[in-house]
Amino acid sequence: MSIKIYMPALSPTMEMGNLVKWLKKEGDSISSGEIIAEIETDKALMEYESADDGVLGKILIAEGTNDVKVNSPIAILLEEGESIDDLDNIDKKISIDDKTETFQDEVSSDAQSTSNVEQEKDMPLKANEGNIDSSNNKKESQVNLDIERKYISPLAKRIAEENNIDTREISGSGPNGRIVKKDIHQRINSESTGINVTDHESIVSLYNASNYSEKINDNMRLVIAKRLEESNLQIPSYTLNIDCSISKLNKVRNSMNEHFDNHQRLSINHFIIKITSMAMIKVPEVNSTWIGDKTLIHKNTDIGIAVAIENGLITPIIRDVQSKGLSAIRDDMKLLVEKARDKKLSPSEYQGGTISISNLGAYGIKNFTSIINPPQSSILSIGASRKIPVIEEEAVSIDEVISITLTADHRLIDGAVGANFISYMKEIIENPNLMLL
Amino acid sequence: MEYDYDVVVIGSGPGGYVAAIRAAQLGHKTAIIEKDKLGGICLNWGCIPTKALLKSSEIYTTMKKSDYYGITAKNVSFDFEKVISRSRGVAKTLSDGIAFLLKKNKITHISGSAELIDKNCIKIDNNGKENQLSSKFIILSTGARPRELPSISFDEDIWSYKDAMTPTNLPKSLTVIGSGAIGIEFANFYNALGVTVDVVELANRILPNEDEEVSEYAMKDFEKQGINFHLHTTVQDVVKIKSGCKLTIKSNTEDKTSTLKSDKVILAVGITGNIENIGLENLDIKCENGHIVTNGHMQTNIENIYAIGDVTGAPWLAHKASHEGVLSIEHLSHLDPSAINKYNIPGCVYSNPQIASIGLSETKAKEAYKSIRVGRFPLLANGKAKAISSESGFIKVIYDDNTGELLGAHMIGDGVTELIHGYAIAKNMEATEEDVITTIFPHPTISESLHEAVLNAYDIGIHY
Repeated sequence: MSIKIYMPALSPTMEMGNLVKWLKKEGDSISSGEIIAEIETDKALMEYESADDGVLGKILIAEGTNDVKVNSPIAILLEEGESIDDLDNIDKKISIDDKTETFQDEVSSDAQSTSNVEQEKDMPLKANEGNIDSSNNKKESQVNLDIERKYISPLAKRIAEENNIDTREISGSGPNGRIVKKDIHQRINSESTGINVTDHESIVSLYNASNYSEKINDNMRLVIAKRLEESNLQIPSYTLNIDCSISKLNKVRNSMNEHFDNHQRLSINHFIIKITSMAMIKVPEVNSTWIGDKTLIHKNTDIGIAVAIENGLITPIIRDVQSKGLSAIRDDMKLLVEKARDKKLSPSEYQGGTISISNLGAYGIKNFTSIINPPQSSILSIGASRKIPVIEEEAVSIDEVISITLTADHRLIDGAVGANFISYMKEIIENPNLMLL
Repeated sequence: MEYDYDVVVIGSGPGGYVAAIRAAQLGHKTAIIEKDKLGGICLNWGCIPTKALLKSSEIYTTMKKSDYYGITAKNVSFDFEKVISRSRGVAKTLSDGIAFLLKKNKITHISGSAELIDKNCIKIDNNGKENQLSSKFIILSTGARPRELPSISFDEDIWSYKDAMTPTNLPKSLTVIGSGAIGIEFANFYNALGVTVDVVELANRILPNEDEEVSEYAMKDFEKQGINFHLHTTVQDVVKIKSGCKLTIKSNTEDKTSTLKSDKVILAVGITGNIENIGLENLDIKCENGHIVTNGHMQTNIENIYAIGDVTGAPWLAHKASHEGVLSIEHLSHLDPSAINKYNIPGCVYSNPQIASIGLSETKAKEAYKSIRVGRFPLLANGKAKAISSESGFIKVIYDDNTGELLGAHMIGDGVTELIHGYAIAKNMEATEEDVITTIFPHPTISESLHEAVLNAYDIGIHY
């Protein structure tokens, strides 16, 4: 009886294969173990050995065919005493991509058929099984596509189920990477504390106990750790850096400050906050929030200000900067910074926003990058102002510049868009009269 | 820097020799230093020879009641010298076996006392002949020795376990101070051979590390066999008299003193680590309460020096030492082994009846878990136990009701030390009650009681 040859699964994850080359022609005799075809998987080019003896009766899939499903028939092998003519009936029945149902239909129609067909009655059934297998395989491989099979102890499995823990993301610490109770407890613990703990014990064992002291991480430290970790893991970010001359801005600022008392004086920061808002209006992609299946494009510009406080930092937010003048920005900022240092900010005063500004100029930092504060989409890092020599018309003069670095979420802000944003900021900083627009 | 060896193990007990073999298996150039006989206390003076002795007393006890089984054995008696010499013979055979294993694994066996000079250098003194060698890693497995009491020291009448297993004559009477595993095994052995035995215990029950229910059951059984117990009692002093020893004991509940007289005394009040004269002080290796301090991977405060087994503290068990030996070697070989879970170490007492346990006692489980399930199965209800007339004893299991985790298992009865590993596997692989319940146990065996105890915990017991 003829034997169908199926596309083999050459690796556990293989779903499709390319039939690169037939090494046998129709009519060639084949003995088991002989290489009959070359098949390319997602991983490698492999030789396909025949498991049976016979004559290659019919090639169903021509060489060079790509994406042939695993377990679909690719050729028919004739056993002793069979001829290619016997295949005519079969030929009609086998259509390569047939669904299970088609075969089933044929089984029933074959039931009343001739002895010749009867002989092959189980062949379509086999094909049928093959298809069932392939769909089963698919189900499994869909589950297993991204992960290897996970080993887990019965107890760990039960505790995970009771706590709705997805064990696929957990790496086990038991024998051969088996997930054990301790791993689930650590996951539960890390979910409640926000720390992604790998293995406290093994980390502690790396250090000599007499050479360190212990400090319990307070809640703020845990929140900072969790948010920054999330940010670094989840946000595909990039940075852009630009130098801006602030000589003109300083002139304007100084002349304005002549009209103010000391405590009312405007700083570079106040100007940068306002200019950031103007650039956000001009380039609305920067003023947006990534939600996954959609993007929120905001109408108001809410800007966070990074404030270093005891044991950490916080970014209170100046709201609706687009509708505020410099003095309002100054007053808001003063209030928020004071509240931040006294740890009196309410959540509504530090949650939300789309961008933050961090200024380390006071420490003499020339330029630096920051980590985006999710769910915001970017962060500006402002360096210290510094004097540089400028050569203009063969004469050297002194200019004062600051460096601005934008770290942006590429999902929302493409490189050119980010560049447009930061260079517009530069344009206003260098031509402060544009702020009157 | 080039070292003479990759790994040098100091001490060849069940921790040390196992560590050396594992090191050799992993391709490390390995040496082991032993000042006495290969195999340490376990093979020579502990686990193995005592089991040989207890087998003799068990056969004697069985033969005395042979009539019950329809067997006639008249004038049953024993040759004490032969009992002892068989035990010594077994120890000798096994110690020679270790020498063979070391040779087979190409481990250099060095005789002598070792002292650490610096973190890679060891001085060896073999009867005055001094030598030095260097090693990348050092494993300290120097073991422990029996503890003395401030007022009571070992001598020809006050025995340590070592003296107790090699006496020349059978004493007529014996007082055992301490009712831990060692004390109980000797009390049981000598009592079975007709010696009058008293056991003095400071705690309010014998075998204080076992589950309360087991302690209570065991004491009743041993009392039936003729052992006298003095609980809640302190030994104030031991005075030599003409006919042996006179002990002044004080009952702590009644606050009154009395005297006990016996030919010999066995002092079995725990052990203390062998931390002296091995150069720990040269390297400031941290010790606490007579034991070396290590982390979960058995590293001392000097990272290339590991310590394993009894010298690192309780539980003082050979199988714990062996496991730590493998753990230390796999750790220094970067194989990332898991630290020992102390609740997964089984403990056994080889008396008659035997006692075995793992994990938490019922009291401790109640303290640590919100709600527990306790299952019991008396051997009386087991067919095989009835057939062989080993009906004394029971199996007890403790589960966390919330998760189905096996928290502890406790058993007393004939041969239970050969059954506890079933629960040890379940605990180690974190099997839940369901896994044990759906396991098929062979019939007729006493092991069916392990199954029934779990069924009982979940109110689905068949035979009880």
